[in-house]
Amino acid sequence: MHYSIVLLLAVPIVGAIVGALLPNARSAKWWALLVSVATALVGVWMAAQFDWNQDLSAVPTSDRLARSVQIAFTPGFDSPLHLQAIQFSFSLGVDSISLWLVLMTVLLMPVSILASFTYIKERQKEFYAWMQALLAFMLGVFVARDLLLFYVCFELTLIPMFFIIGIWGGSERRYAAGKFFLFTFSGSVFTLAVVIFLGLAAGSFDLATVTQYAQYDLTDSARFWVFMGLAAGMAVKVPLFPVHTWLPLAHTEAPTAGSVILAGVLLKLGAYGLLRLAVPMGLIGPAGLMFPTVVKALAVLCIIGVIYGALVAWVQQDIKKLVAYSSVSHLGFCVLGLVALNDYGMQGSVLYMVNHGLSTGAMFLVIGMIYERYHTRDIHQLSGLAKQMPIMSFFFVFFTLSSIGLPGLNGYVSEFLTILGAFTSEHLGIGYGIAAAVGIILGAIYMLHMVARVIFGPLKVPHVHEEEGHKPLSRDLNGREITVLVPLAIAVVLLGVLPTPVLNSVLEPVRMVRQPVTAPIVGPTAQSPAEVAMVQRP
Amino acid sequence: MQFVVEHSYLIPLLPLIGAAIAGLFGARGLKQQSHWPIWLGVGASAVLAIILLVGMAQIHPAEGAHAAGIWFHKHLYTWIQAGNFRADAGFFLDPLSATMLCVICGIGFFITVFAKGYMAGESGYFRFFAYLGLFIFSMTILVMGDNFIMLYLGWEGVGLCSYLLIGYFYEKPSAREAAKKAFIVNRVGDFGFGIGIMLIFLAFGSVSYFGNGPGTHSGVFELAQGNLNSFQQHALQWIPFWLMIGAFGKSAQFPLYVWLPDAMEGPTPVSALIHAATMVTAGIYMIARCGTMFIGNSAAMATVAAIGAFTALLAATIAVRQFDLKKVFAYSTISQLGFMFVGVGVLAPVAAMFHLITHAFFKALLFLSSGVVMHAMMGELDMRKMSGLRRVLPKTRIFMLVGCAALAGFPLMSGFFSKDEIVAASWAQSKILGVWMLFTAFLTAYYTFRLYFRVFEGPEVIPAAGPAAHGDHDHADDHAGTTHGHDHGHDHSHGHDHSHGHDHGHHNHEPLSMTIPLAVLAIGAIVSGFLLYWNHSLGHFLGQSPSLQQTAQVAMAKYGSAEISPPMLGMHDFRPHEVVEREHSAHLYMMIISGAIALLGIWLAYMLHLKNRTAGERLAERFPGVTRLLEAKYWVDEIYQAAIVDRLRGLGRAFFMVDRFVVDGIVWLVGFVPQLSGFALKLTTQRGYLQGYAVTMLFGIAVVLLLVFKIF
Repeated sequence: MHYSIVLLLAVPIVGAIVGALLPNARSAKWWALLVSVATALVGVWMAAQFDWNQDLSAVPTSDRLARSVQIAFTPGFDSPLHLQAIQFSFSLGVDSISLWLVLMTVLLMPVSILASFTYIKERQKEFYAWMQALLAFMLGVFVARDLLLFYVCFELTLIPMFFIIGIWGGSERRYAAGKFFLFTFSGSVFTLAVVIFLGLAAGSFDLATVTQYAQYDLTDSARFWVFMGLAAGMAVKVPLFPVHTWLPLAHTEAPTAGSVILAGVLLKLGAYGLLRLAVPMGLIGPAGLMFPTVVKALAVLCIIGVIYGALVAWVQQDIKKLVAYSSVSHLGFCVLGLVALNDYGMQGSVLYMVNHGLSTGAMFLVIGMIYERYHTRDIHQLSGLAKQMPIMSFFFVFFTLSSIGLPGLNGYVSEFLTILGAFTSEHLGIGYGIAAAVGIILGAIYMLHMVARVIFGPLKVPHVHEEEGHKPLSRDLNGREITVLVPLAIAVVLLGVLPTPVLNSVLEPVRMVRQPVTAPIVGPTAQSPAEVAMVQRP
Repeated sequence: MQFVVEHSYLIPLLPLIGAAIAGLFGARGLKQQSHWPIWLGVGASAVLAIILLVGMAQIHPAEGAHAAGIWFHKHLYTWIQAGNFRADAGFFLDPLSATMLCVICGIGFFITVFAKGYMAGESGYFRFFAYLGLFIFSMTILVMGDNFIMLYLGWEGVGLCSYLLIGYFYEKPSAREAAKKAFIVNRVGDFGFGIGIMLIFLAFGSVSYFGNGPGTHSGVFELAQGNLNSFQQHALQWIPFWLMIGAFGKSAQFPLYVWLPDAMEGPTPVSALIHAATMVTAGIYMIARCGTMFIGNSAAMATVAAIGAFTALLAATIAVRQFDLKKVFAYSTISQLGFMFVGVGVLAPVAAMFHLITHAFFKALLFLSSGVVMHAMMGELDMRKMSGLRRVLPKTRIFMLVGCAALAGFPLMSGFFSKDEIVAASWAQSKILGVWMLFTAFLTAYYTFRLYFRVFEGPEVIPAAGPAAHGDHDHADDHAGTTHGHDHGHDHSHGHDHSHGHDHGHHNHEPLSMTIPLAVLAIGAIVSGFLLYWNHSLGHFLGQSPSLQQTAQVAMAKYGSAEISPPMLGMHDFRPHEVVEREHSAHLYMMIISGAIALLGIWLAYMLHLKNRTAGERLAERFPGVTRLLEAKYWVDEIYQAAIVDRLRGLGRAFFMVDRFVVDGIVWLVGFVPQLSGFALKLTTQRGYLQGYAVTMLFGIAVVLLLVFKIF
C-alpha cells in the first residue's frame, strides 16, 4: 500500500479548505503556492518510487495490467472507502501514463498560481481555494482506478472551473462559463449512463473488472453504444470537431491561470478518458479491434479538426482565441494518434498530451503577461513588442516554435509520431497521414502570423491608464514571471532532446489498452466478473 | 584525425556553445564583442572539419577504412524510440559530409569575420552572432546526421535560423513578412520531406542511412537495393518525389523558389552564408546522399533535371531585368541551384557537388562585395542610381570582378569548370537540355556583367545619401544613435586609407576585417575550379563516399556503362580507351563552346551597359511587354497570393462563421431545454444564474448516487 498516492489528493483538498479559511488575500496566495509545490513534491516522490524500466515480459499476460499499476491504494472490503452496496471503491493507482500526466499537472499548477499573483485582484482567497480544489479533482481523474470515482472527479472539475471562468473571467464570462458547463455536462450525461450501465452489469466499478467485462461479455451492439456514450463525454472535453465551440470562448474569457489549466490539463482529461475508458471498453473485443469504421470516422473528425482549427485560428484577432483554436487543431493530432491504435501513434499521443500541456500552457501564460500590461489581446493593437519586451519575446517565440513542432523541442516528436501512427496504422493508412500532415504547414502559418504581428514589426502598444492602488508592472518580464516560464522552457527542451524515456515507459501500458485484457473465463466453473476481480485483488 | 572522428560531436557543439554564450551574455556583457564566441566556435569547427577532410583524403582508396568506401560512424544516444521506430542521435562521416563540413565551417568562418565589421554598431549585434552560431550548428547536424530524422532536425533548424536572420531587422514590415514567407514556403517543402521519411519507414522499417554501416544491409539505402516486395517497389516509385519536394523548398526551386528573393531583407552576410553558400545547397546534398533511391527511378531523375533546368532559365531571365544588386544575385542563386539540380538529375552528382563548392566561394564573394557597396552607398542598392564606383571602392571592384567572372564562367575561373561539367553531362543526356543550359549560361554571363559594368565602370555617379529603400544600414544607424551610440563602429569611423575618402565625404569602406575575408574567397573563386577539376580530384575523393559508390552501382545495373560517365559518379573510368577519348574530345569542344558563350554574354553586356547605355534602354523599350513581364517576375507572387493565400484565408473566415453561427446554433437548440430548467430553478431558489448550474450539478450527482444506492 502506497500512501503517497493518497497524499497526492489529500494535500490539495486540505489546502483548499484551509486556504478558504485564511484571514487575508496575501496569505491565501502564498498558501496556495506552498500547497501546489507540496503537491508537486508528492508527485516527484511518486515518480521516484516508480520503476520506470519495469519489464513485464516474464509476467503472465493476465497479470500485466495489474502489475503495470505500480503505485496503488486499494481500500479493504471493510473499509469505509469501499461501498459494498454498489461495489464502489475509492481505489487509486498509477501506471506510467497516469504518472506522466500527474507530473505535468503538478508542474503546471504552481506556475499558474504564481502567474496569478498580480493578475487576480478581486476575491483572491476564493480564487486560490478553487484552484487547489481543481488540482485535487484533476489528479483524481488521473489516479482513479474505479470507474465511478473517475466519473465523479471528471465532473467535479467542472465546478471550480465554472467559478474560475464565471467570476474572474473577461467581459463575457457569464455566457462563457454557462456555455462551458452546458456543453461538457451534456456530453457527460451520456457517459454517466454508460458508467452506470457498465457498473451494474459488471457488478463492480473496478476499472480492470469493467474493462474485462466490456471486452468479453457485451454484445456487439451494446459495445457500440458503450463506446458512443463514453466517447460523447470525452469528445466534448477533448474537444473534437464539431463539439469544440465551447472551447474558444471559455479559453478567451477565463483568467490566465484558468486558460492554462483548461488547455493544459482539462482537455487532457478527455483524451485520457478516451485512452483509458472508451477505447478499451468500447473498441476492443476478444479478437481485438471491433469497429474499424467507427475508428475511421473518429480519425476523419480529428483531421477535420486539425485543418479546420488551424484555418479558423489564422483569422482570429484575439491572440488568446487564436491559441485556443490552435488547441482544437493540436488535440486533433493527439486523438488521431490514439485511434491509430499502434505503438507509434499511441505512444506519440500520450507524449502529445504532456507536450501540449506544456507548450500551450506556456503560450497562455505569456499572453496573460502581455494582457496584464496592455489590457488588450487584439492583434491590431499590438505590434513590435520585441523592441519593448525582448525577454518576453524570446519566450513567446520559443514556445511558438515548440508548438509548431520544431525538431529539437518537444512538439516535434509527438507530432511526428502521431502522424506516423496514422500513416502506418492498419485501419487508417497513408491517406490519413498525409491529410493530417497538412496541419504542420497550417500550424506554421497561423502561429507565425501571430508572431509577425505581435512580436515583430514597428512598435505599437495601446496607451494604458494606470490603475489606482496597484503598482505598475515592469516594462519587460519581472523575476517572478521569468520564474514562471523557465521550468516550462526547460521541460520543453528536455522532452525534445530526450523523449525516449517517456516513450519507452508508456509502451507496455498503451499496448495493454488495445489488447484484450485476459483470456475469457469459460466452462461451468466460470465465476462472475466481480468475483474474478476479488480474486485478482492483492 | 582519430580524435576528430571520436569527438565529432564537437563540430556542431562548439558553434552551439558559442551561440549560447553570445545569446545569454551578449545583451548585457559582451555587447560589441559578441562575435568572439562565434569566431572561436566556428573557427574551431572549421579546423576540425579540415583535419577530417585531409585525414580522409590521405586514406588510400585501396586500403580504405572499410571495404565499402571511407566512412566513420559515431553513435551518441537513441533520440526517439517508439515501437520499432528508432532514430538515433548519430553521425555518419564520409567524404561527402566532410566536403560539406569544410564548405559550411570554412566559408562560414570567413563570413563571420566579415560580419564583425559589417554589423558593427548594430543594437542587435549579439543577436545576429547568436543566430549565426545556431545556424552553423543546425547546418552541421544536417550534413553529419546518420539518419533521415537527424537530417530533418538540421533541415528545420537551418530554416528557423534563416527565419530569424531574415527577420533580423524585425521592425521593418517587409523583413518580417519575408521571414514568415521563407519559413512557411519551406514548411511546404518539409511537409513533402516528412511524408517521404514516413514512406521510407513504412516500406523499409528504418530511417537510418546505413544502419550499422555500409555492407551490413541494415540501413535504408541498402535495403532499397535488396529483394523488394511489391509494396516496397511501389513505394520506391514515390519516395523520391516526396523527398524532392523538400529539396525544392530548401534549395529554392520552382514552384517553391519565391521565398529566396525576399530573403534578401536579411543582413548581407546572411545572404552570403545562408542564402547562397550553404543552406540552400541542402537540397543538393540530400539528393546526392539519397542517390541510391533516386537514380534507379528514371521518372524522378528526369523530373529533378527538368525542374532544375526550368528554374535555371526562369530565374536567369528574371535576373536580366532586376535593378537591385542583391536581387540580381538572389535570382542568380536560384538559377545556379537549378544548374546543380540538373547535375544530379543527369547522373552527375560529382558535377553538382563541384558546382556547389565553387558557387559557395564566388557567390559568397559577390554577396559580401555587394554588402560593401551597400555600406558605402548608405544602403542604396539600385544600380540605376550608381555608376563607375571603381575609384571609390577599388578593392571591392577587383573582388567583384573576380566573382562576376567566376559566375559568368569566364574561361579558367572556377565557375567555368564546374558549370561546364554540368552542361557537358546534360548534353550527353539530351541535346535539347544541353542547348537549354548553354543558353542559360549565356544569360548568366550577360546579367552578371550587366551589373558589373553598370556599377563599377562608366562615369562616376554616387547616390545622394538619404533614406534608402533597402536599408540595412540607414535603419541600423537609428538604433546605434539611441542605444549603442558609444559603440558605434570603430571600423568605419576613421579609416587610414584616405586617398579617396575626402572628396565625397565617405569614410573608409574597405577595412581589413572585411577585405581579408573577401580576398580569401576571391582566391577560392579563382583556383577552386581548376584544383578540383584537375585529375578529377574531387570526383575521386567523393567517390569514396558509400552513398556515391552505391549510387554508381545502382546506375551501372540500371543503365549499363554506355549511358553513364563514371567520373561523374565518382568512379574510375573503366570504359574502353576510345570511348573515353571520344568523350574527352567532346568535352573539350564543350569547354570551348561554353567559354565562347560566356564571352559572348560578357560582350553583349559590354555593348548594352557600358559602351552605349542608351542603346540598352532603347532595346528594353522596344519590347515593353517582355520588360514588364520580367520586371514583375512573371507575377508568380501575385498568382500565389490570389490563388492560394487569399483562398485559404477566405476559407478560414468562412469556417469561423460556421463556427459561430451554425454549430453554435444547433447546440443552442439542444441546450434550450436545460436553460428552461435553469430558469425555473432561478425562480424558485432566487439564486443567480451561475450558481444555479453548479447547484443543479451537485444535485444531479446526489440524485444519481442515491439512485445507485437504491437499486442495490
